[in-house]
Amino acid sequence: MYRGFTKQKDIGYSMKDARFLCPPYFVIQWHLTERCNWRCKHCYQNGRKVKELSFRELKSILPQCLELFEALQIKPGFARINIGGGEPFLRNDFFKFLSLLTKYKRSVKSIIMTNGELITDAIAKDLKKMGMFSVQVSLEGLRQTNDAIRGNGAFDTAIRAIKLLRKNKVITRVSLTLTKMNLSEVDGLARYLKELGINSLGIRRYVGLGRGKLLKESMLSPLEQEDFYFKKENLKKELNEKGKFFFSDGCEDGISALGGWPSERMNCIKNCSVINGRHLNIFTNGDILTCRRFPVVLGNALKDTLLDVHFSSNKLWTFRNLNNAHPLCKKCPEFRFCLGGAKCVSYAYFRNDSVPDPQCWRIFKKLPPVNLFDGHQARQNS
Amino acid sequence: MKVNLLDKCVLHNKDIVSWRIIDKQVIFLHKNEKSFYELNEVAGFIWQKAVSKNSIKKIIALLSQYYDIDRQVAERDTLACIEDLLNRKILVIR
Ligand code: SF4
Ligand code: SF4
Repeated sequence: MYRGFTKQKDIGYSMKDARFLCPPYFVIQWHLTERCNWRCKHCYQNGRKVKELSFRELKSILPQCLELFEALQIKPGFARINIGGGEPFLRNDFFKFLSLLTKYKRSVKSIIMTNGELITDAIAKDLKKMGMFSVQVSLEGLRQTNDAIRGNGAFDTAIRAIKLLRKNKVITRVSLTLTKMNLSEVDGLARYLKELGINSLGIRRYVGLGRGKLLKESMLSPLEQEDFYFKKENLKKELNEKGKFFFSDGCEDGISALGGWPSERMNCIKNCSVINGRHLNIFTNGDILTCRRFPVVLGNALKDTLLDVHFSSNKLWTFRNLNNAHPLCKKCPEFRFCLGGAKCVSYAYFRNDSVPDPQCWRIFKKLPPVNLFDGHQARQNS
Repeated sequence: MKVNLLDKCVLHNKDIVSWRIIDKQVIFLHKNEKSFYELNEVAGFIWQKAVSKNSIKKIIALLSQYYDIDRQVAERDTLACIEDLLNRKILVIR
């Protein structure tokens, strides 16, 4: 019998597909410019010039973010807008944009991703005053290694920025992209950052995109990746006494799921946010992407809405459908935590998004040939 | 009104509604209200037959056959559902 229809809040969603309509958190990453004052070797930019949105266009898109968070019923504090580039501080209207964002500070958290060069004492003070922003500064190791990847003087520049941000009590975290070049320095860098008063180090996996393809020889083998996860767990325990320092897990760390690990560890495993439907990316020209590191264009925010794309994009539903995972993953005991690995790493490596993660040590002992799955149909265009 | 409606076809109003089947149920996004709605089983059946370009008369017959119910009951339910959704501009007459 017809009894009308039900608004979403009345529906019990459990672990079915409808969970994509009420995820526990949601992250929008928004790139305001592709311009940058550095030329880091591991960067996923490809040197192509991209037209930037005007301030008026940015302003028109911002309410869409709120609408998405509201429709998905994301609780205050669990909605996040990460702002990046390029180097976002290069935009003349950057602070005007940040002021707009502060209107939403009750419900949205925001992280600014920067190389730190343009941070001054005055800027750090302003960020503190605005009250909603934390800052993520990128570092790739200690001085020599960092500068070999990010350019001469980059280490001192970043540390100067970190000190200014700390002095002004802006929450500051550091992010590092893990390669063979900096693997042995994670321990030293973490200890140094702790001394500086930083309490969070995020270690991202290498994705061979854009300029970053040049570093492909530095990609960790699966066994090195596994070994790193174990070492990181130990270091985490050691540095985190009294909750003073933690390694934040990234969305690419689904493969770190280990059945034997304690349940409190398993509970906080993150996995690919494209697969679990908790992420959208707004690119510099307004394109709505699955993710910056797995950049499938889903629409453009000047004519489509984030909410409609999140709900309607067949490509997104294809990525979310776990039946589309590779058979090797589907029979893996860790699949329910890992969800088949990081789309970005698989796609950049194999040019195929529906195959296992090349750094997964349950399948590969060393990095596999890049054409291993050439006959396997990719999903994104199906 | 009802007599006229029987020979008509309806479809979803693309300007304000996107829809898809999630967990075997029809869910639609009301783009103006920025909310998701779920149709119950019968309404979902009617919706899917409607967007497959069946006339309302045909939908009534299909509903009656599928659920093994009287034609009058099927007609009452189908018209109640479609009129409700038309009034809310979620469906439009083709
Ligand atoms: S594609 Fe990679 S970076 Fe993007 S959400 Fe998935 S794991 Fe994270
Ligand atoms: S086999 Fe697949 S599901 Fe299992 S851990 Fe590796 S990438 Fe993840």
